[in-house]
Amino acid sequence: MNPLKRLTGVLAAALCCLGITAPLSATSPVVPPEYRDYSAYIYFVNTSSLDLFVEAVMDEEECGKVNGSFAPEVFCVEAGDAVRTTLMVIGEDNKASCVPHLLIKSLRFYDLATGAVAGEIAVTEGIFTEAVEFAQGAYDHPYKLTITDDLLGGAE
Amino acid sequence: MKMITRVALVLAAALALVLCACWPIGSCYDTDTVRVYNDTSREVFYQYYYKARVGSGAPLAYTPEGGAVIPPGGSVEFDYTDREHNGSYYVVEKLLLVDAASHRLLRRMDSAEYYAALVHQEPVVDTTSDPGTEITRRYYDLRLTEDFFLQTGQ
Repeated sequence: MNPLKRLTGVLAAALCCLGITAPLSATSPVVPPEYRDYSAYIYFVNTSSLDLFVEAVMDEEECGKVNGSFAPEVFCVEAGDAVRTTLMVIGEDNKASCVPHLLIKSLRFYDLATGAVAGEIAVTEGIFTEAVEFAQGAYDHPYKLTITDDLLGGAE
Repeated sequence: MKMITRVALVLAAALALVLCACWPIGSCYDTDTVRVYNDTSREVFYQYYYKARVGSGAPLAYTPEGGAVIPPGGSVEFDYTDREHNGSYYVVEKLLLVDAASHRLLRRMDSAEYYAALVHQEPVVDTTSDPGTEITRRYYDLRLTEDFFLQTGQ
């Protein structure tokens, strides 16, 4: 095989690999697996251009069944801010238990300047893209959500 | 009873009195509290953020606090928060006041503005809530009015 064809073949193979792995790495959360069984607080980072009022729409569940909706939890996160919240992602062990727990169904974002809805997204583990390591190497907040203009725009 | 035993008993009683007066831990300290009164006809959502600094290290992440609606005519209280506690130093970074119905920001106070609004006040002092102790409770008031919302932070 001539060198040009060989190089083309290698490049094609590399592109093919990238094509397969890139979407996976873009959507797979990097929440450490050992934390997925446990409930954990969510860490929000607002890199969008909007100051936001965030409304977390929640259901109360028990024994895997929805008991009913729960009053939304709300908080503000201004552009450029990173905030630790008391909103929780419920771990698999707790979800399976018959202890009543709140599951966040969606997040609705309002523009604080106008009050208009800036976007709404469904909450799945896949939206949390990066673990946040705090002091002493502990993952106090393994679930991090970065709010971008794209996320808001795509949600509209 | 020997003199030394009598002294020991008196000291033990004094120590027990101090421990009882200070229970739970922390209640021996003077407190500074901010009282926010909603004098408007709106439901106002309030949220303040503090940063904690451990020693001389960089401030830790913001933590939103409050996060509740103050009904018209209602009030809330929270810690003035400008103090050291267990080796960490806490300070309010900002206070956000939002119209709960329209989700619009009514007023944003940064740390300097927040403390400027409070520090010049003559606080209401209460020394009677903790009888038998030297504890002083100081209250600083913030009254939410339509004029207050118009001042800055639109």
